[in-house]
Amino acid sequence: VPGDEVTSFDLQRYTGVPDRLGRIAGDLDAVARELGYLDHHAATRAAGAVAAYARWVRRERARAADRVERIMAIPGFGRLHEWDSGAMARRWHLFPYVRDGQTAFSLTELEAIGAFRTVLEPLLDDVEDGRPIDPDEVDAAVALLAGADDELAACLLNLVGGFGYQQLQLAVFATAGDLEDREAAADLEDRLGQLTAAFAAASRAPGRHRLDDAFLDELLAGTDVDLEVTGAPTPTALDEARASFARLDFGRDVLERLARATGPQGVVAVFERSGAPFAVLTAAMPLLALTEHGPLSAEFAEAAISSTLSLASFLATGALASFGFFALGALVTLVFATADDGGTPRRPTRGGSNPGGPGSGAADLHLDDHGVPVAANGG
Amino acid sequence: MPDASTAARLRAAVELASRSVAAMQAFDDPTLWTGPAAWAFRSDLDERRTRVRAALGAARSAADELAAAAAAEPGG
Repeated sequence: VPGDEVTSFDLQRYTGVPDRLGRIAGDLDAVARELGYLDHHAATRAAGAVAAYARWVRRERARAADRVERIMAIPGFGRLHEWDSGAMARRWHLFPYVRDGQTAFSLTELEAIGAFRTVLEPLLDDVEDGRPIDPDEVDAAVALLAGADDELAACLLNLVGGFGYQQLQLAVFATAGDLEDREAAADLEDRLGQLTAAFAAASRAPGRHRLDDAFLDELLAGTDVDLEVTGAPTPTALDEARASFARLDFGRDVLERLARATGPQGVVAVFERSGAPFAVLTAAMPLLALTEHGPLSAEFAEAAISSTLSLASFLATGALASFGFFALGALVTLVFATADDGGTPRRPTRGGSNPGGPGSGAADLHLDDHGVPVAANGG
Repeated sequence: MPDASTAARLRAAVELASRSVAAMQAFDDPTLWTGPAAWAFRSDLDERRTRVRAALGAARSAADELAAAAAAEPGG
């Protein structure tokens, strides 16, 4: 049905629409027949008009039924509702997956909720709870995001959240195998590239499906530290950075926080050197996560910023493998090793809000000797 | 010859049809659904409602005329 992808429905009420339209069409058909029996030209004309109207109502009923069928056919959706025999209606349980007060959903959002439940949520739960990561689950998650169009990617990442996105990256690293093996390294590069591409796709999504600011806030959470090496961000530098980053539609506050970690000129330099700005954020995330654990030494911050610049540049040119994974791997490992002390950002309540904020939730994570995330504080 | 029974049946049928046509208004509700498909539905609804109401209006007038003529007949 044209336009349906960006049409949103009150699921609770809309699933009853086909039955209601069917009853109205039946009533109209009965009236048209009655008018047809009357031997009068005005009645005959009215019968024709009412019958035509009934046919249109039936067409709309079929469209509504098709929408409801498509919703019910979404994998994982069957477990999100129950039949309320008192109200003679389905009751939907979507609140864990939506923003407060949201009652209307597009088909894309509903598809994302179903896919999140069946593919992404089990994997994120494993990461969050420190269980071993199933490579098949990682394959499925990466494939889902890689195959998503802009709108679906945005809906999925909004459900995953910024912390969840970081955890997906961690899961990809955790199942990467021996990075000295050229094939494993290439595979890791490909998977990371697919996650980054999903992020880029989500950033391009228009209208209500665009990537929420909440996602970016979570992604860049905890960067509010004063690094002596950075100095205060200047409006000019931030404006330049924002212009460079225009396609991602970042808010100024997000840029300011990024600048506090890398320095405003650093942000500009990264953006200018990168042909694909979204790659910058992927590369910068480990650095930003590091800053959550307190002020860094000037030497370390400079080294980290330098690594990030190099990595972003290589990510943008697709030459990550030749650069080597060790810089990024070391940064990620440091992030999660540091989490033993200060706590890793955790996945918030899904749906873009983060009422508990970092520090609430399940066990901390770090990588064991085999690169597998494990619980650091026993949960 | 004017038929009071036909007038009454015509009027009743017109009222029933009008009620069903009016019931469709409930689906033009931005809290139920919104977006391009809902807007297209609303536009279609307006156009088709105008058409069917015109036909029902003519039938109602015809029923009134029939009823009036029947009443004017001797013994009506």
